[in-house]
Amino acid sequence: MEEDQEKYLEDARKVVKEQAYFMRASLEKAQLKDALRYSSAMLSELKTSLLSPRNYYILFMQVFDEMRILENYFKEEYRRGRKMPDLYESVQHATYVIPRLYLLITVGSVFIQTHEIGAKVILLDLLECIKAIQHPLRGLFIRYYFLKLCKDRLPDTGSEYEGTGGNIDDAIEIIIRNLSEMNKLWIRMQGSKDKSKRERERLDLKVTIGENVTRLSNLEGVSLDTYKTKVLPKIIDIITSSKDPISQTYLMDCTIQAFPDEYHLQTLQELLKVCTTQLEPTVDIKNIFINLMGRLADFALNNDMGTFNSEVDIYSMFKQNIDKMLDSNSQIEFKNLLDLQVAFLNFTLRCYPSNSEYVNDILKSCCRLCERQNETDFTEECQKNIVKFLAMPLDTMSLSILTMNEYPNLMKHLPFQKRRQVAIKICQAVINLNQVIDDLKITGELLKFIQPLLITQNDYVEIPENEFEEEQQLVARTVHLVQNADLAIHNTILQQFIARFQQGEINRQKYTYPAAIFALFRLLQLIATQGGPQTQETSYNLLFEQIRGLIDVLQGHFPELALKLNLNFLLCINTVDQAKEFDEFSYDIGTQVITIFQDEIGDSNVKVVLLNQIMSTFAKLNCISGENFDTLAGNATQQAAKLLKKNEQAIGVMNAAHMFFNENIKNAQRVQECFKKAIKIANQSIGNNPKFVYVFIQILNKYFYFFEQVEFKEAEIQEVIKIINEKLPKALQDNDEQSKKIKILWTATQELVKERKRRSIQAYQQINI
Amino acid sequence: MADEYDEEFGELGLVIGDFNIPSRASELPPQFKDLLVPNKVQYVFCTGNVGNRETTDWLKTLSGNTHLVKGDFDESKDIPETKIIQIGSWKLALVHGHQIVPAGDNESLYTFLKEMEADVLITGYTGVAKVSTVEKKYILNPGSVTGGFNGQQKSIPSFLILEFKKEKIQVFIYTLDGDVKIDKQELLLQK
Repeated sequence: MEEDQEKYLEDARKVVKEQAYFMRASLEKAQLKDALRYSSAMLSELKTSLLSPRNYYILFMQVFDEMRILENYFKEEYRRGRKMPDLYESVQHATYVIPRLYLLITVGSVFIQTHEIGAKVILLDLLECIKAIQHPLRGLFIRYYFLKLCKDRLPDTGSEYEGTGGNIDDAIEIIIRNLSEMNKLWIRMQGSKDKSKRERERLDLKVTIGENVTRLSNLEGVSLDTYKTKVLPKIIDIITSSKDPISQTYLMDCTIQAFPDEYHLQTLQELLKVCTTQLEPTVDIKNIFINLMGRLADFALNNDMGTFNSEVDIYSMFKQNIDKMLDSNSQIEFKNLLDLQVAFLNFTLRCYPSNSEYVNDILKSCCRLCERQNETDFTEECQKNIVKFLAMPLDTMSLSILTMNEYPNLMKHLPFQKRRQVAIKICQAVINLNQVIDDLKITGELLKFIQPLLITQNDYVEIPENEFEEEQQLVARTVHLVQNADLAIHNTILQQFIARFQQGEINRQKYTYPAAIFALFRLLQLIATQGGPQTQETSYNLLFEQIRGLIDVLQGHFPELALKLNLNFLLCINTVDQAKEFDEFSYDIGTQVITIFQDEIGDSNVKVVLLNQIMSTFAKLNCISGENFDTLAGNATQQAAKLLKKNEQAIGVMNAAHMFFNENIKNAQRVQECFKKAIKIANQSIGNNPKFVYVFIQILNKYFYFFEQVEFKEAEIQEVIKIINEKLPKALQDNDEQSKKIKILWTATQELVKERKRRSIQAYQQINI
Repeated sequence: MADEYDEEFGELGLVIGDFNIPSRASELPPQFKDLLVPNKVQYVFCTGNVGNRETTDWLKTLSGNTHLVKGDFDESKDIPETKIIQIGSWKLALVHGHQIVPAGDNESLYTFLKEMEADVLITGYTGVAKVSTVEKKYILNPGSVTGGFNGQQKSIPSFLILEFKKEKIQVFIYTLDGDVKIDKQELLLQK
């Protein structure tokens, strides 16, 4: 079949080409009669029944181009004095009706340009004549030819043909008649036996119909009023009387596309009424609505929103009509109605950005819709739409959206995975908008909605690890948005979060507890800034105990994390408790740190770094009394002495000195003890390994750190320098990585002493390096 | 001759760190988020403790040369503890700082800098922005870009921008205390 089509088209095109050639040749020799004969033959190819609609179109366009040449010749003839009526008459001698009519239209178009006779007279005459062609395909195209040739010869307002040639009403009338006829023929097209193929073939030709509508919209004389009173009613008439869904859909789309949005705004009621009540049930009304809403939203946003709102209540019009569709017993699928609701919500959010009442109303409609359905109706597509529905308002509206009571009603129709998606979107919206969470009621609702993330619900489904981490981190981030100038409320809100976190399991608490803990730290500092706790619930005691409890839970599975959190806890207490009121409590926390370090940290490398952090933190503390602190720091020092490697032990004990000598404490004796111990440990190892001299150099530098504040025996230091000088040559012998390190540090140390000597710092004058 | 070169526009580096998202903060302050967009700087030096993969990925979009070191709350095993970066005549060392005792102490940090044979040490951990000169070397701390808990009474969000010239670095200190404030300091290369 397909190859046959190709052959038929090829053959026809060949004939057209041939006859066109002869026609042109005749025209050059001014032999009009011959030219007409050849053009007739050419036009006869359009009588064919063999071609598919698309191929007929191709042939038509080829003929159309050739007819331009003839048209031009007719114009020339007129200028040379040929009488138009004569020409008009002579072309009617063509034997066959198709060529005759094509020629008539061509002459007619030129005739109109002469102004010898009114445009409307000729146009109406032509319309009458072409009625003769009732074959759907051929009739369609001859009317298309008519449109193309005559579209610039219409008696439009302000055109050269206005006046005796007619007026805008006539122009409208002519196009409407053409459109109506073309539509009827289009609907009657037979084409293939296969229904869907037939539909496709029809759609291939839709632009021929559409051009009528476009031409209407281009008429100068079609003002808003004319459109409203004359044009639109007629188009609607054509649409509704046809009862063909393809035609109805296409013509609605054309009309919406062709005419300006201002016009649609003013005729919206009419348009919507037609869509909802007068179209065939199989027409996809939702797409028309969505198309309209999209255009009007764009229009509203690009123009004065005031006019948009004041002149016509767009929202209500759409709402009424959409609700009508929802409530009617029409066969519109659930899925389509949901699509429509989502599009309507999107439209409303764009055009009425802060109107939560509208959103709630749409929510209510959607709920009503969902209530009527069976469980099985909620397909994947429908679920996706409900998720969209719940998430969209959050991008533009505040968290108050969550207090709308219809919200949870929609959630319950979703399975776990989808509820989780909504929860994630809610968190993301809240975080991206930097929303402040300061209201108890809203917090309650928020926590309800993100429940899929907080606890393991009944229909829980396993999630890949990286996705789980991401979702929990979202939850953790949300906690930090809690804020209220009234710290009692601030606390209550935080407590609501923590209560939920406690119901999650340890895999969630790994993320949520640290966030809660740091949020509590911040709260504590705010309380301190305000002069201390104002209510019982915000007492230091209560909050401290709570934090301790949370860290304890983490300790079981994540001892290292718990240790670091405890260190930060100490720093927090340090900023809050200037008066050492919670001395015992802080001491307990410090002891807990040492216990975790000792009993639960296995990796020796990790221990070294952690111990440094412990000592750094202890060195900052001012919230622990003298005796307690001495015990604590002593314990830390002992831990240093128990590290795995000798060099780590020596350095650790050396670093411990900082705990005893800093801003808060100046215990020179302890410092001296640390150094003595460090040297002792170092001495135990230097014998076997000359490279151990590195440790000695580090210790020497530390001596110089305390040099001007703590008194050391000169001999002690010189002893260290002596050992260094002894072991250095051997240590540097093989020039490897370690040797290089030693050399660099030693050079730096010597420079340091030289510089300080140069600055005449007393203590250094005696140092021989 | 050197002056002629110094007049030219130099390469820019962003010094940033201690985000601690999500444990201590939800996001960067919006005023900073607006400033930190891709292709404005040639280098990013991050002191560590970013806190999550999404923010780390975002950080890497800011420039083609992102250098990141491990903070005390970074769990990934792939991140190095220290890094050395050479830019023109400047040798930079990058370390989070929780490894050093006492934390944030200039003299101890200086010893570390000397061991790295660097001209500039970039370090974090304290959550307080600071530009220090010790002997002929420089220690830069961008503070915490989110202003998360840092063990001090108050935590102010901050970061640094470095403009590299041949013998000079222009430091811009961005802090957020109500409004965004920018302080300037000049570092001269001394060997």
